[in-house]
Amino acid sequence: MFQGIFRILLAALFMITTTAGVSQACVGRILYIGATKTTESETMAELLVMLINERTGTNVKIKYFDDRNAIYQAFKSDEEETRVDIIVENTAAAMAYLGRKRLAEPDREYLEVKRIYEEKLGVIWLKPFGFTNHQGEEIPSVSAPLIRNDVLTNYPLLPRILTKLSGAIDDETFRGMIARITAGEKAKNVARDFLKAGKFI
Amino acid sequence: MIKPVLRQVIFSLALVAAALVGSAAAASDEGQAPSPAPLLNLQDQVIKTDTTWSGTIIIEGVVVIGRAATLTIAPGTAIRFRKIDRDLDGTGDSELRVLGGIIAEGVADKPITFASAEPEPAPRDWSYLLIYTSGRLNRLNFCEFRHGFSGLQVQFSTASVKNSLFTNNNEGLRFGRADLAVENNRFVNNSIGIRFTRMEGPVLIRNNEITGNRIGIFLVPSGQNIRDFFEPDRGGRAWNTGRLEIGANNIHDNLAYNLSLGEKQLWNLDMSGNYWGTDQGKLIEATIFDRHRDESLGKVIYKPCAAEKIPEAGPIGADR
Repeated sequence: MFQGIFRILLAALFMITTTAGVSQACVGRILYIGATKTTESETMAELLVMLINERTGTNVKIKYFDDRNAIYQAFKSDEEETRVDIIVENTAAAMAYLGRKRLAEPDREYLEVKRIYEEKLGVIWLKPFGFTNHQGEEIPSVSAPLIRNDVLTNYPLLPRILTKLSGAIDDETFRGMIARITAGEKAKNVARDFLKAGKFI
Repeated sequence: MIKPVLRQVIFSLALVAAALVGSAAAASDEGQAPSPAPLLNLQDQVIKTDTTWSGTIIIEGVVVIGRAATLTIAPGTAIRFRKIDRDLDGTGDSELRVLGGIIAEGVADKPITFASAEPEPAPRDWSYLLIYTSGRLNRLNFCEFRHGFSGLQVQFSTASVKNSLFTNNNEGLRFGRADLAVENNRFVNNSIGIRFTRMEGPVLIRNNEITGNRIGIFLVPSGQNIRDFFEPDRGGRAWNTGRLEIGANNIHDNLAYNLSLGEKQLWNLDMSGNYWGTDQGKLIEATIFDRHRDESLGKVIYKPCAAEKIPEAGPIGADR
């Protein structure tokens, strides 16, 4: 029975691939995460790289940019060489990017940027990591991974994987990671330790 | 800019010289006039008729063995891939893609080698030897794969891979749906020794030495579908029973995990009869990423396991 199905599959694939095209699904491609050269941004990017790579085998690389505007340019790009697929963003910066006033309630603010980003930019906000980013402001800001809608077509499982980190990094944990990196440890090693300890990898 | 080019030229000349010297020595041993070993440079092309390679083959681009053709490679042949990166993803794009058939049978003291042509070779310098939707029985024996993204990939094809060495690749061997026998090989110093996406078969992985890789064996579904098409229940048996057999291998001392189940690998995997570096359950479990670490995953059934190294594992005739 199975051999019969196998033969049929082979025959079908023979027809499909006579021009020697090879499915990228079989041989892999690369996901790019956009980050700036700040300790916070680098740390979160390394966390995502390691988590995605270890759990799916997908090749993931970080592209570094000078500032947030450059990241957004890449996030909107359709060119393979310049695009990024995933970034980490916080709601305060997102509201600033949208030219809107901050909302007093963090949950409402998150839902607001999530809605607008999806409608206007084709970008999905996944669930927040858990830590807050005050940035000297009174209203707490939350951070979350953002993924392009078109990337989900090729990587439908990415939300499932990234959501594992939802609520997993509280303020104290995040500060602890940043402190280690500031003291000289490599962000990659700190990310690995966190993911291992949490049994994420 | 000039320095890398110069290095390439010098390295190419060295390859030619090595081929000539080797050939002259062999001819001298037999009392014949020396004749140069073949040195063939291949760029993007489809080979449409039966072909035999020997000597040194330099590949720069994608060389396809067409559906009507079989490539036969003589013992001792060196296939070298130049690093070109057309899509700028950091992985070399040169590859050998077999849609027809391949017979690459070296011998213990004259293996067939697939490796980087770069003067300072590194993993990912070239893509892979890819056997893809081939309708023939492909045979690889006493081959060596180095510096590839994957040394060898077998997808929707039938192949026998024996007595071969996979080292310093991103992945040694990757396969998806395949009819495959992988026996008496050595996987060492790869990021991933063996990676596969399906639990169907028939696939036999037996008497291999899998050690010193970052991850020894990585089973991860391709992630193409949100929904699964596996049958949900097989009467409590591990899903691979009777389809994918992985037994009598030495799987030990891999750096991160000896075995890792990737995301969404929900089914139990029978891996009994292997040697894991110890016979103590807790120590073995610490080297396996499965339900013990992530309850959404399947469980690896490693008992009963071998208490000592399996002496038959690894290439025949090699120092085990």
